[in-house]
Amino acid sequence: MSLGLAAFSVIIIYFGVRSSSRPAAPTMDAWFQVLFGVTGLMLSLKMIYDVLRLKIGPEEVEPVIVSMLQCSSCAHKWEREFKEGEYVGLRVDENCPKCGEKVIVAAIYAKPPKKAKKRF
Amino acid sequence: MLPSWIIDCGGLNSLTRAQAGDLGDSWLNWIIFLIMIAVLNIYGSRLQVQMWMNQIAKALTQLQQLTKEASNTFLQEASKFGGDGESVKQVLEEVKGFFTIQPVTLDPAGAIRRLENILDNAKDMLDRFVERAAPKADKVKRANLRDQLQGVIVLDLIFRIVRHFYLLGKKTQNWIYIAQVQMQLPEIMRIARAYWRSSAAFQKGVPVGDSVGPLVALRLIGSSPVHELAEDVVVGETEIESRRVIVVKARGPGGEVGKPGEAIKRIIESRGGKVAKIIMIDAAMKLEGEPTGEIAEGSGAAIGDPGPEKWKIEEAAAQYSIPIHAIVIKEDLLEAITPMAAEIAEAADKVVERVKRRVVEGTKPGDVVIVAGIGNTVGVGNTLGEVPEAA
Repeated sequence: MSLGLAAFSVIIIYFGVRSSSRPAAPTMDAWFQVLFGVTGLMLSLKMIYDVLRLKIGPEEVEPVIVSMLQCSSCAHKWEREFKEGEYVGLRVDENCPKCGEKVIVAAIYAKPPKKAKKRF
Repeated sequence: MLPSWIIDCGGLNSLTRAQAGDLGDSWLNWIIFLIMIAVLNIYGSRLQVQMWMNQIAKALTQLQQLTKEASNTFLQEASKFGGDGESVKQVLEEVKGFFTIQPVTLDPAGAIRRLENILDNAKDMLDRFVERAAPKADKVKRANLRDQLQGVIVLDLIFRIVRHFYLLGKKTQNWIYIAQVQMQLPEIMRIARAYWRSSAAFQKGVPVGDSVGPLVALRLIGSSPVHELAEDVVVGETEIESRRVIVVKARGPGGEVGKPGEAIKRIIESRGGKVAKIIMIDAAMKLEGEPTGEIAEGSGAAIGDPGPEKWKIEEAAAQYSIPIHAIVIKEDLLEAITPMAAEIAEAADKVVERVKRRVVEGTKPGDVVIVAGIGNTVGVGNTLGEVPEAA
């Protein structure tokens, strides 16, 4: 339907431009034809854009889950990627990079994904 | 003849020139104009309804796809815990359309007790479905699988409702049904996507936005020992400026909400009502424009259950005139059931400080204060520094 409307609009614009180029032709009719044609063309382009945007929408990006680890001794905190089986409060088998003591998982959260690249 | 000043206006010059003989372009304009008017008048509304129905049909395809993906995620996860493909598929088939029937309220006496019975039974039924699908799953994993299964049920329900109105509108040619669904489609799809994304959170066992209440409770409990006081609810004790603080949360790290109302009621009754204050922490729905993680305070039982737990808390508090202080963290539906956003995790730290101040305000040394972290405790343990249970 969009393509049909676009084709029809182009034809109307053609007739309008052709009419306006003739010296004896009524210019107001020609302008109206061009106006109708341009409106129809813009409508059809908008419809095509909407259809394409629905079909080729922005890519869904998975958020990155990170674990915030905290040293139980010096309270030093740092982030790293979440490992399956971890939960908040769990004492993990890692050592604090500062004091070497055991660490616990202080928080687990999702980092905002990179802005979805708009493909269309 | 028309007066010359009218003819001189630009609008009529072309018409008069056409009357003078140049009809070549005017008749084309009139035909186009008349065709457009006829089409728009006669078929305009039908075109509009057809466009709406196309949009709804596309949304239905997407909803079906989301349901299928959520089901596949559940199938994959259950298969890791002893479920063979066929039995899991059979469970998914049987659980679709799962429902609970609200108790009759014509006679409201006992409605809460009857509702609680129905909800307990529903939970047991879902647990049995999960047990069939994943017989080797431990208690924590079973809780997470149950939450995943509930996500599949909700997605399937959304699909069925939209399909119902779509087919009803098509059958009866009633464009009101179609219009209502089309206008709500963006919100419906937003909700459906939220539930679809939630299955990933429960599959991995990571905290969701709704886990902020239990997270605050865990920070308050610290490394104090906890014990189970009510069904799937643990309590721990701590001290804040000589006030004895009893912290209540659902038993983690599985996806449980527990019965915090029952726990609070038991604490109050065991002390003969000698509780100075109840502070409840929960996630709350934010309005558009409000920032995620905004903290607000108020009065009342901050708990989003269908009724029984909230009723128990309010009843016990009212019986002994115990004030209930609510602290909520604002988030939207998507954030509440998907992996916890960084802003919400940061808000939890601020809430802990607020709770400490509220415990002290209006109480004196030696008083007992109950602090309840309400919400789904998926991904949140019970004490800091706990080691995983042996398999």
